[in-house]
Amino acid sequence: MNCRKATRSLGPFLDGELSAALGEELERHLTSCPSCALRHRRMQAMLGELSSFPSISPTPREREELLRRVRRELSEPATAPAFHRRAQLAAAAISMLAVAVIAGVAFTLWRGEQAPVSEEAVSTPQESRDYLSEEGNPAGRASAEEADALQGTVIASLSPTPSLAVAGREYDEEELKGYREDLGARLEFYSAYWYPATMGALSEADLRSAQRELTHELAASAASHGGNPESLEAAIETALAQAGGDTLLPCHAELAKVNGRECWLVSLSGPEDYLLFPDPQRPPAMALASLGGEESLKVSESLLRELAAGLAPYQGASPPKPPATQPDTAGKNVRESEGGGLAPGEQATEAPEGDKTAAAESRADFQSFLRQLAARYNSLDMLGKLESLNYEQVIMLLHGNWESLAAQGVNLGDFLRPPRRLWAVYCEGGEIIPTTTFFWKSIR
Amino acid sequence: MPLDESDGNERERPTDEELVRDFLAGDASAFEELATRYQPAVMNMAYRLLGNRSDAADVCQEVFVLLLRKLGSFRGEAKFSTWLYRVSLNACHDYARKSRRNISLSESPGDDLPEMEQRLADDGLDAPEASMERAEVQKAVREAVARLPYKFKEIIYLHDISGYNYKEVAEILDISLGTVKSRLNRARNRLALELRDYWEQSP
Repeated sequence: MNCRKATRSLGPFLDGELSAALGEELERHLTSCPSCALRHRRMQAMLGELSSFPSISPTPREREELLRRVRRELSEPATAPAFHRRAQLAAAAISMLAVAVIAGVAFTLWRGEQAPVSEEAVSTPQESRDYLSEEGNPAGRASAEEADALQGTVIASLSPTPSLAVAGREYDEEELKGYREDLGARLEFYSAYWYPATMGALSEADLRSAQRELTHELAASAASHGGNPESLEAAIETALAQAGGDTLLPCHAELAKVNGRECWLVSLSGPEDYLLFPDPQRPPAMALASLGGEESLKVSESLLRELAAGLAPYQGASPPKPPATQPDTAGKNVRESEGGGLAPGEQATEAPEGDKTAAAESRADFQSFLRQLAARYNSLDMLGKLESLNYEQVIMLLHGNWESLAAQGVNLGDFLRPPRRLWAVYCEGGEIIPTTTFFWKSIR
Repeated sequence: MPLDESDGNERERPTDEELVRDFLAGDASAFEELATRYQPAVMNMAYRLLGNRSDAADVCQEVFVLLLRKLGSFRGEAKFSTWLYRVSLNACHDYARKSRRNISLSESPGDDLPEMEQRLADDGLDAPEASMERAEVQKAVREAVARLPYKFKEIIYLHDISGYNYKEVAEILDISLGTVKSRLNRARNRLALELRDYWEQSP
């Protein structure tokens, strides 16, 4: 048994749900693997604590209050509650629509100022790429036609359509890693859902309801194009379950072939898709960032750690703690520090302080260290950007402290990209094609 | 806390389903009996999910009011208790959203209780230092649970805190057994990750 399988088996083992044979295999592994043994002890302790969470019993007063409330409800005319509820819903719907329209107008104006996205610009991946390469747009170019189109945009933004392809195109895993067919839909969904959501125009309940509707819409669309709606619905359900507890929206699906088998590629849109826009530093983006999420670094965490360790001598700081092996959100073991190469921790602690010659040598070492990193990671561009950061900012990147980074004028778009939430699920069997679920490592 | 804790334990006591039938036939006291029977379970669920006793009492009232309105649509396909827990979980989720607070198994369940009511395991048996250490561990775990996405909290609450088995969790959440297992695994891995700093700092 390897560590990955052991990690997956720990929970069922502690629940007594693992078969005897697998249990024995796991026990053998635990005696020979200290890190899995540690994980086992910690999980055991964690489950022990959970099972002894405090509980309460209703006090006599609480019992009395509940019965009073129940009796009051029972004594009301049967239609009253339903009527009130309907009235409340109607009022809520009206106010929500008003807010949505205001938010939609604000968003459209904001888009007009910052970087207008026309319907055409988001309609195809190629055009989306073109859009993404733009460096902003001169402000104040909104024409009378654009102003006339405003209302239409708002309405469109309230009812975006998920995109669907059923051509059955073959992909290999490398191609899937560069999949961009969903880009247009994600941009559209950002403006239609996530931006209004940050403005308070759409509640979590609205998003959940949109999630259901979009799923049905995709399934219906699949059915009308000869696809199997049930298998698509199941694939979306799988993708949503894999994505964790967040409310994400199915925005694109494609019937494709991977490894010679038919599968659904399902793309989910999430609030961090704001990072698809060229300038993620504007306030709404930060509001979104503060909601959390799973933005991904464009650069590997191990590279950042090495960089931080390399920078530490100049800052009089301690290098970051040696990384540990940990499971990522998809349950896959990710070793944060890759073996070999430099030993930046040693370099950091050995660098003499206050000695000019040593400092110069240290700087030269650092330059050479950067060159080696650039060669190893084959990314001169990224290294150039990282070189402009100071130690504190590298640590902020490591900790996901986006707001502070943006406050210091760092362009988050240089280092972050939204998580790609693309899942490939076999039509028959429903299993997920390995490696397609974690193209980019989540750092939270 | 098994799902059928109140079903048919005493022969003379009407079952939940009988009470539902009686209520729908016009016997209001049958509903009061259901409320009395399930108030402790619903309050505990809300308390552990919302982290605050007064919120838990409010949600509990909301759940039973909601139940009054929904009972007509209860078709008896699932057990009443399963159905009630599903309604209660949704109510907790909605309440947390409406009050714009993080749903928190642990904003601090326990902190607002009179000392006598706090049930730390082995209470009174440990040395004071050990009790303090234990309380610290519990606090760290509670805070870590509070940071989980809701779906993870929900499943941790049902399985690891309340002790429902996989099948019961699947019924309450209306998801497949496979989904229960994978979601629970992911929830625990995420929780372990949340606790990593704590474990590394603790001796």
